[in-house]
Amino acid sequence: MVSKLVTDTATMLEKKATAKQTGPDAMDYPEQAIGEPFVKNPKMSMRNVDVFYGDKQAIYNVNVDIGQNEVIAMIGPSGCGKSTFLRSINRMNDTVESCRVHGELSLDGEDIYAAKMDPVALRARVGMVFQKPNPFPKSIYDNVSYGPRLHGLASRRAELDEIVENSLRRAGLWEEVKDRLDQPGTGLSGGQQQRLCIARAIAISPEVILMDEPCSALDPIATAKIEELIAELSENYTIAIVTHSMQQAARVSRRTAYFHLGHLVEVNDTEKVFTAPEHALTEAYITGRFG
Amino acid sequence: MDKLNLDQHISRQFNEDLEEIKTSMLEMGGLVEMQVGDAIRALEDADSRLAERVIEVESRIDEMEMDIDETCTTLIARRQPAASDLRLVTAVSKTIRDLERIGDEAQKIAKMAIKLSEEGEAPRGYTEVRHIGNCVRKMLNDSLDAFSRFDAEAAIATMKEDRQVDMDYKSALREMITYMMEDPRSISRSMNILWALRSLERVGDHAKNICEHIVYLVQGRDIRHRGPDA
Repeated sequence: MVSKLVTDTATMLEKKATAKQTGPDAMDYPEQAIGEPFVKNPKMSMRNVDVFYGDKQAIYNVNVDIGQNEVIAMIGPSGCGKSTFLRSINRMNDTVESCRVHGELSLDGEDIYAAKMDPVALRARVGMVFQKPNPFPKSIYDNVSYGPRLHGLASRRAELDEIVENSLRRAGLWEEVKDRLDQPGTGLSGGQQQRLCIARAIAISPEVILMDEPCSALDPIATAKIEELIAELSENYTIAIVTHSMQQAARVSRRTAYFHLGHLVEVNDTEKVFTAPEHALTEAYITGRFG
Repeated sequence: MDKLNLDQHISRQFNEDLEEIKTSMLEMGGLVEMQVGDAIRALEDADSRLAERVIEVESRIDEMEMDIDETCTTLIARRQPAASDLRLVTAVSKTIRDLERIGDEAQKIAKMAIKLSEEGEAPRGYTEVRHIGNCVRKMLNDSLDAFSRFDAEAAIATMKEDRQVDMDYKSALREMITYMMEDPRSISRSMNILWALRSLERVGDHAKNICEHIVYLVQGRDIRHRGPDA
């Protein structure tokens, strides 16, 4: 019996090996993202989004919602368009000459790309944290107070002090830096710098925070702190995070969106994506079966 | 998602690790099948030497369970499997538990075989043992077969057979009780057969559990306590 089962297994494996040509790489994208890309009362809603760099199309007809105070993770192999898509959400791509964004993108029902929408005001509502911590070459205090000053959120020094302290506290950095606020932000450790950037992003009370691989330059402890912070921030903010670390997506997000070569393939509850994804491409990526 | 491509990971070592837990599990399954068959034969033929061997081999099954379990834990720690890989690891980990319990039941049957060979044959129940024994052995065999082929349909078909086994067991139970009431002198020996029947019925339950693990593995659906149509 044992030997019969072993032979059966061997035959099965042979069959699988010959069926390889029809493996994940040969599979088609779904017309529309499968799973549950839409939510009730979305914070942000994206419809029929195409993004081009010159003649090259980077995003193909993406339709997805981001819910109120949810953490949505965007994952996918390099070059799948997840960062491009994230940058379209707060018009960071405006600065890229050749970049064109088509489709309807809205924040609380307001068209993000409308002529009357001021990109600076938009970015105050939709903040961003980047892959590499990029504090200004200024003091810790000035790094955080820069935004509120620019947007006129505080008229007096005391108000500004309060915003700075509050933001640093929320970013979990206050205790570590309260005695050296006048020192340069660039002198902090990598993890602290990233939390400083998060403090800077939340100082102007954004509604949405976009994070583009915020932990890829950090060690595991600093990463854990940022992830902890994401969980806390999600009580008050809507967060979209692009990450290369699937474990990170699994740990921090409520929903996960899987991008593949510019197509949004699947959006589902994170739990579902990591235990029983619906689409074969998602499955192949999550389990590490891509060549 | 009903296609599992165990052999297509970027990491070849990962392919091999997953293949290894599955192969070892099927090996363990083969040994457990043999144990059940031997235990039934020992009971039918009142062969106490065969029964002794079943009891001896049981410890080997326990070792296999612990080995495979450890491999699964290591695999989780080192690879953090997700999606179908994760389901394979949990399905294997649950299946070996059921297999180990089937091994225990085989051991119990073997012990009854020894008792019967010492105390003398039971007046009745051997036909039932043969019949229910054949049914649950087929269920076990089919469930392991379905696992090796990742065949959820076959697993669902197999698990449905458990209902018939339960019914056959109940009617055997009634018959034995009636007989014991008629002839109280045979109670002790009849009880030995009854315990063996009870063990066989449990084997069917465990085979059914294995089928449920297969459906979870292949389709990602948890059908425990709900049935395959939920």
